Amino acid sequence: MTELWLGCGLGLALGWLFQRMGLSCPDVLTEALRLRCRALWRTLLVALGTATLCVAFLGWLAVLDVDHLEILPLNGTLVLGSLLLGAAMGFTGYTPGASLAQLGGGKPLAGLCAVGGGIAGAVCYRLAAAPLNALNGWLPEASGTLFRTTLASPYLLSGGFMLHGAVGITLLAVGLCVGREPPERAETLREAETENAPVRSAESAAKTPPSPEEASAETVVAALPQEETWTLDTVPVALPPQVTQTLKEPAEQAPSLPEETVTEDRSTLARAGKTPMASAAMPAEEPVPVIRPEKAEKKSDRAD
Amino acid sequence: MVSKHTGARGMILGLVYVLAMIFVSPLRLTEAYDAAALALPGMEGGLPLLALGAAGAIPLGAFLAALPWRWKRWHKGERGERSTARECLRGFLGGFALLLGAGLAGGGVSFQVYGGAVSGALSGYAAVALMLLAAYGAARLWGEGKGASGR
Repeated sequence: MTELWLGCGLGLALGWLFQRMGLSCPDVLTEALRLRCRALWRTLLVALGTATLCVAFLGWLAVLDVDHLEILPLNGTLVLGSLLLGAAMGFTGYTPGASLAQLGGGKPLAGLCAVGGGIAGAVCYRLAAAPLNALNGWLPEASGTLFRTTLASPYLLSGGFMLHGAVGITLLAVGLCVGREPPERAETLREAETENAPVRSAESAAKTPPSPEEASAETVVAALPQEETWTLDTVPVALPPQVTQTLKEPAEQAPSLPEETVTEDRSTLARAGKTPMASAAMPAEEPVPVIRPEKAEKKSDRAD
Repeated sequence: MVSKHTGARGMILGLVYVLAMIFVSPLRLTEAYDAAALALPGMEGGLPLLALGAAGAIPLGAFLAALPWRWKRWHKGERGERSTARECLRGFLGGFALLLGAGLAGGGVSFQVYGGAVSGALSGYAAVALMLLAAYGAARLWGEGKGASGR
């Protein structure tokens, strides 16, 4: 009965964690497996490192009974089963635990179907266990541990609990470093989230101008008859701090002219048939437009 | 998205699995599915109480964690998203393949990772490496398929 209550307590904690990690949504795991969600990798690596470190330390203190550790043999069914398990996880975004979490925290009907499918899979395995176990003969069976942390033998590396603990510390450190955003990038992301506006760096804007198909609401596509197509990107661009500082300095140093003078100058220029300078017409706060031809080939054709 | 508390959550997750290992044995959630299959005629075996308790409490824990979010949505008058037939089919097929694979491998993802690899077992490291390899390939294929179909 103690086992049941312990299981309930651990299950509550696991359910809460799975939901907070986003595992109740299958797409989160699929995106993480495509290496697009570093936060989940960070959590899982930190969990693995913490658990490894704890097992090594508690084993060294003899608090953890090594008989509680289950060491499976490495054989053909394990290899085949792991490949099938991984492929199913990648295609669907489910794990046996995540299906249960989706039942409570995600879409219940889809979770129920996943649990139902799991029970059907367990029944099928029980029915087909005997023929499937024949696969074990295909590969030579290997057993044992990497370190001398259990009573199982053989072990590959000496060092025992200390080396096991070192592996745990390494995993923990890697996990803590993997998902960490650089301070500048984290700040940019935070600003972008608060302003709710797409901000691109000047370098990326110069390298990859938006195509007309991908143009956002802020992008103007101008196509004049008998003229080549130009794309004017007016999405706010985050300039490097050195450039921003350089732009600000002359404005601070130069004496600001009265408004009347500027207006007069503009009207004088207009009477003379000239247009004012672009820098004068454009306030400093305005985003810097990036003008690019749509296709380079068109330009070369026209030159010919 | 800038996620917070990921490190702390990872540490708690690791400690949960270690607690199960200290008091009873590594947590093997697939045993709960096997136990459900025992209800069918012709199946025999003992009841894994630890796994059954955990499997029963995970939906409750997830529900409690999602409660504030659901409350906010309900307060705004928004309705929750419903499962589509495609998602249900995907769930059923995924669950079937997962448990078939887990039966062959001798344990699911959490057991192989937090029971096998954590204790330094060769089989655990091999299983984790193979699972990740297959999962990465499958996720890439699935993602490209989704992109190609325009979904």
